[in-house]
Amino acid sequence: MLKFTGRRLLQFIPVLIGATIICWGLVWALPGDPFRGRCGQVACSAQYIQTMTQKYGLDKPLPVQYMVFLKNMFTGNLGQTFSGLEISDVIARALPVTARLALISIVMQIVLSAAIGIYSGLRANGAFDVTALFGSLILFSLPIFVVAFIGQYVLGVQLGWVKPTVSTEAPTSELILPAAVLAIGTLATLMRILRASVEEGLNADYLRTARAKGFKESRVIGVHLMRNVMAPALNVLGLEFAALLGGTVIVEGIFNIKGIGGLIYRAIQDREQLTVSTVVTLVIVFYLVINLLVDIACAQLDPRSRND
Amino acid sequence: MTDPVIVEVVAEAEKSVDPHGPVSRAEAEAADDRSHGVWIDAWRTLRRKPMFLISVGVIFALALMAVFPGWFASGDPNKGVLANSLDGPSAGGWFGFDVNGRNVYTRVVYGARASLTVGFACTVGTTLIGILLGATAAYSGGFIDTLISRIADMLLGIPFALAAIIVLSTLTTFQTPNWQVEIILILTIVIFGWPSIARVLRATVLTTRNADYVVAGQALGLSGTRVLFRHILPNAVSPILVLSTMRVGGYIATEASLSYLGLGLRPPAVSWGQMVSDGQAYLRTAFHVLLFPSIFLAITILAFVLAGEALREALNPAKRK
Repeated sequence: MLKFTGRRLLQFIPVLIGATIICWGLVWALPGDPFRGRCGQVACSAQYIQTMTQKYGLDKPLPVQYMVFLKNMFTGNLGQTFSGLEISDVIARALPVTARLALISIVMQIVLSAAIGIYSGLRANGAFDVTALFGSLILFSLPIFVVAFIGQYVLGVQLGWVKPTVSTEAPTSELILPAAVLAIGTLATLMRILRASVEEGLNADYLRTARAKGFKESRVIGVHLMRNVMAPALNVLGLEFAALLGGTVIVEGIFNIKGIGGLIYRAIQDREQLTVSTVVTLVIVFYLVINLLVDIACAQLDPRSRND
Repeated sequence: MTDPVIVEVVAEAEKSVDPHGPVSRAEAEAADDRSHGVWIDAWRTLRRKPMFLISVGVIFALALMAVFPGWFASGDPNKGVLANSLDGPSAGGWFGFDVNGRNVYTRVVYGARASLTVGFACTVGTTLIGILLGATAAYSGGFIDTLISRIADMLLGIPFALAAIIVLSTLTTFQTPNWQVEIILILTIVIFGWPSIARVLRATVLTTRNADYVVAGQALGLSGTRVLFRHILPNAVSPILVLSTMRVGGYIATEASLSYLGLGLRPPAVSWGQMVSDGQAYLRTAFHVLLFPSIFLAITILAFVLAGEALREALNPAKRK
């Protein structure tokens, strides 16, 4: 297992380089000049544009710019945004908010999908299963911004249970509604996957064996069945958690959350290659670490899934 | 879990050839062909399932609506009578009118084409590429597995909203014709969407790879691709079916979200995503503008999910009687 982990950690390097090159190239390909529109009502002077272009090294060839970015990464000095803010400060403000939002949302998803999905799987095609299926699908079929607006309007404006938007400090109580909105999007998928695996697992030989050995039913379901049905759900959950940490442009916008999604969105609009690539590198590191943890967990749960 | 079909094949193969000589690959494949396979078995079960037939009927009706919208609604979906602005459902307009006084029913009917095309094309694209690469990765192992898995990681690690925003704003302008926007939209979703399918399939194939029926197939001398496609995939495909059938709806909703950000299809094209994104602005005053396209979205998703669910049950060998 140590060897496996070590090899995967080494493989982070090519993935990170590949992904940052893709990002770098994508932002570079965006049309427009990043400095032309920075002078308010009047047109920017050619001198200003030239000075800024030189200051941020945008006159150098693309590969050289990329190497500078890599050097920044390794020396820990991430550089500045075009407004002169340290990129590390900007990230340090946005990340804790997004991380807490993602964590609350993922806990909601785990609790709800486990409770509903497993119960539906155990009593497949019963009344509860069918109700859960239709309920979750109706919520799933609504685009996320619709759920967000309805939630904000009904719970925030009409009933007044929560504040409709999140303040700058983003206390946890205000993040519950946005987290719930984010959870609804993937809850249905997660529930379906768990339900399908549980229902399939119920007919498996290992379960009959466990029962034949005389284990209590709670142990048969809680240990023997769960161990075998968790892998696909864990995979989806890992992807979802990583996606949440990457920020959610729409929900952050609607609830006025100052997180990673909005940071990336603004950086794209301002053509800030360095900021976009730095933040995306961070997001990809999260993604890789989470997936490595999921793979290790799956290999522990199910020795068959070890591919080495 | 031994697949009964394979046991039969082994027995047949032994009978049909010299019991002392080795079985040639051609003979093994001929024997393998004689078993009618899981897909035909599944079809025989499905023919008798009312839930499957109803879902397929709904999908067929929606497909008809997408191809021949004129059969279901008369009039121009973009013709607006401002006097009718935000009027509720009535005999003249079953689903009411939107802010420009356009008939919501007509627009829902005409919107089916763009939405179903996006939903269906993205699902087929991501699922096919995901199955192919995911299965190849798990079955070959070694360097190919590493290569495919790491490319998948690169694409999955980049937040989708970010990728979509950049690609769509780079490649499309306000002058880009809608069919081009649609193709670019679909390709973007497929390129960044296949890795999640591949990842789930890879995990499932890994757990199936050493099952008795796979070893039996290999022992008979069947080729690697044949074992993969005839014996491993049908047994590993059920989590993917659950995911993919749900994704049809997910992708339609993605198109809606991109419309909301101003990056999806634009008028005069009509899509459910656009309608939902327009309708949310009138959530408090004219709920029907949002409600009816959402209902159609929900019905579409439900039909695909229930059909997928029935297919999954029919494909599951443990449930076959």
